[in-house]
Amino acid sequence: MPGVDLYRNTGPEGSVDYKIYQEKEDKNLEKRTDRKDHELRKMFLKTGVISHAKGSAFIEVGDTKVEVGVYGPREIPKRSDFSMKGILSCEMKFAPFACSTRRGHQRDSEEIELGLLLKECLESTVRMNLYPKSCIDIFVTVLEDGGGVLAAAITATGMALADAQIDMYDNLVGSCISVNQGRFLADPSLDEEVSCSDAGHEQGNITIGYLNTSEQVVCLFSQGVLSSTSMDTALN
Amino acid sequence: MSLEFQALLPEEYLIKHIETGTRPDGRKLTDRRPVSIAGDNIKSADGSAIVKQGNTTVICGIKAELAKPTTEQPDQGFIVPNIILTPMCHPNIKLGPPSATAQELSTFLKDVVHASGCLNLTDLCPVPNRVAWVLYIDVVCLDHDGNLRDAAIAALIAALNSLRLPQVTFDEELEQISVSKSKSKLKILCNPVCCSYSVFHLESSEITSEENTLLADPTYAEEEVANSEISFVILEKGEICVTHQTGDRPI
Repeated sequence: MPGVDLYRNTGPEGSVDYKIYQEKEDKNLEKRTDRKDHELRKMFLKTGVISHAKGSAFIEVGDTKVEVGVYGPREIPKRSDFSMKGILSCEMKFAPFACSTRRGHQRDSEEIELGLLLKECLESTVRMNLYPKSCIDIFVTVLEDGGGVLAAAITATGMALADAQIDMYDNLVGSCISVNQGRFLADPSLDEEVSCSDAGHEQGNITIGYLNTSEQVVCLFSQGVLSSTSMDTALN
Repeated sequence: MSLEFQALLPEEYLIKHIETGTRPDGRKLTDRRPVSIAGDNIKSADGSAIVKQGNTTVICGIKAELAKPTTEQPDQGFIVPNIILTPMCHPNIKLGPPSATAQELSTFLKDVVHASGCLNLTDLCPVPNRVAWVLYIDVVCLDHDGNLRDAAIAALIAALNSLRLPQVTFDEELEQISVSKSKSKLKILCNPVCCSYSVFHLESSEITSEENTLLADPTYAEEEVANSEISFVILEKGEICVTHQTGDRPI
C-alpha cells in the first residue's frame, strides 16, 4: 500500500482540515492597521537556546517562530565526500502544526527548496575554506508560519552561526517585501503574503539574504509576477 | 580535569558522584529539575504547549481534522500522538525516519493517552456514523537533555487542556457538514503526570543498603550510562496507570 507509514502512529485515511467547511471571511487588506507600509513587525531574537548544539538561535517575528541549531565543524560521515573546502548542509523542516493546514512528517518539495535557498545564502557568507574535510550541519525548525519564514530563517541562521563561532565574511540578515497592487509592504504577515489580486495587477513576494556591512545581496527569491521597475523599487 | 574524566570514563564519573549522594549538576538523587509549562503559544495549532525541564525543551502542537468514524466504533474519534526528535536537539540524532527510541516514545504516548482515560473518545465524535475529530498530537523535541518521557507527557496534557474545537453539525437532507467559527474547550477528565528514574546497580552502596540506586529526572549523560530506566504515570488520586521499564536487570 503506498503511503503507509510504518514508523509512526497514523490516523484514519482521508482526514480533512475542518476549515474547508467554515465560511470564508473576507480579510480587509486595503490598509495595514497596526503599522505603516514600510515598518517591520516586532522582533525577538535569542541565541544559545539549545544546550547541546555548538550554536543556536530562536527568532520570533510577529507570529513567525523559527529555531535554528548549528553543529560543526564535524567529521564528514561519508568518506567519499572528501573535500578541501568543507561542506555545508542545510535542512529545513516545518513542524506539523506550524501552518494553517497540517504538514506531513516527511519533508516535501517546499521544505527542500527553502533548505537549498538557505544553503545558497550561506555558500557566499561562510568561509568554508577554513574548514577543510569537515561539514557544518544547520537544522532549521519552523514552529509557526506567520509570514516571512525564509527571511526569519536567514536571520536566525546568521545569528546561530555567529553563536557557533564559525567564521563568516559579514553579518547575514534576511528581509522580505510583498508587492500588491502597487503597494510595497515590508515584512508581510501571512495574510498579506498569500493575498491574491486580479490578473493585470502586479503581485508577488521577494525575499533577500543581505550582508550588512558590505551591502551585498547573497540570495534573492521572488514569487509572483513582477515587472523590473517594481523589483528595483522593492529592493531599494 | 573533571571534564576529561567525564569524557573518558563517564560511568565511573557518575558513580563517584552518586556515592557521595549528589549528582554532577548539584542535585540530590531524588531532586527533580525545575519545570516550566506555558500553554496556547502557537496560533496556527488548535492547541499547543511548551515545556522546559532543566535544559530539555519540548513543544506540543495539536491539529484537529475531520474524518468518517470506523464502522467498528462509529461514535468515537481518533487520537494520533507522535514524537519528533529533530536532528538539532542532540548531536547523536541523525536526519531520517524515526529511530527506535522515537518509535518507542510515540507508542508510549499512545498508551498513556488511552490507559489514563484523560479524554473520552465519544466526546470527539460530534455526529456518530458521520463525522469524527482526529487529533494529530505532535510533540517536537527542541533540546534533548534527558527524560523526554516526563516532558512529552506534560506537554501533551497541557496542549490538550489548551485545545479549542469548533462545533460541527451535519445536515442530513443536504448531506453537508458545517463548522462553526466559535470554539470551545474539550473536557479533560484527568491530568496524568509521568515520573521517570534511572536505575544504577552499584556493588556496594554506602548510602542505601539496597542494590539499586534510583536517580530522579535523569539528564542525557546520566541516561546514557544507566543500567535501566523506569517510569510511572500517575493520575491525580495517586493511581498508577502506566509503568514502563527498560534495561537489562530486574528491579
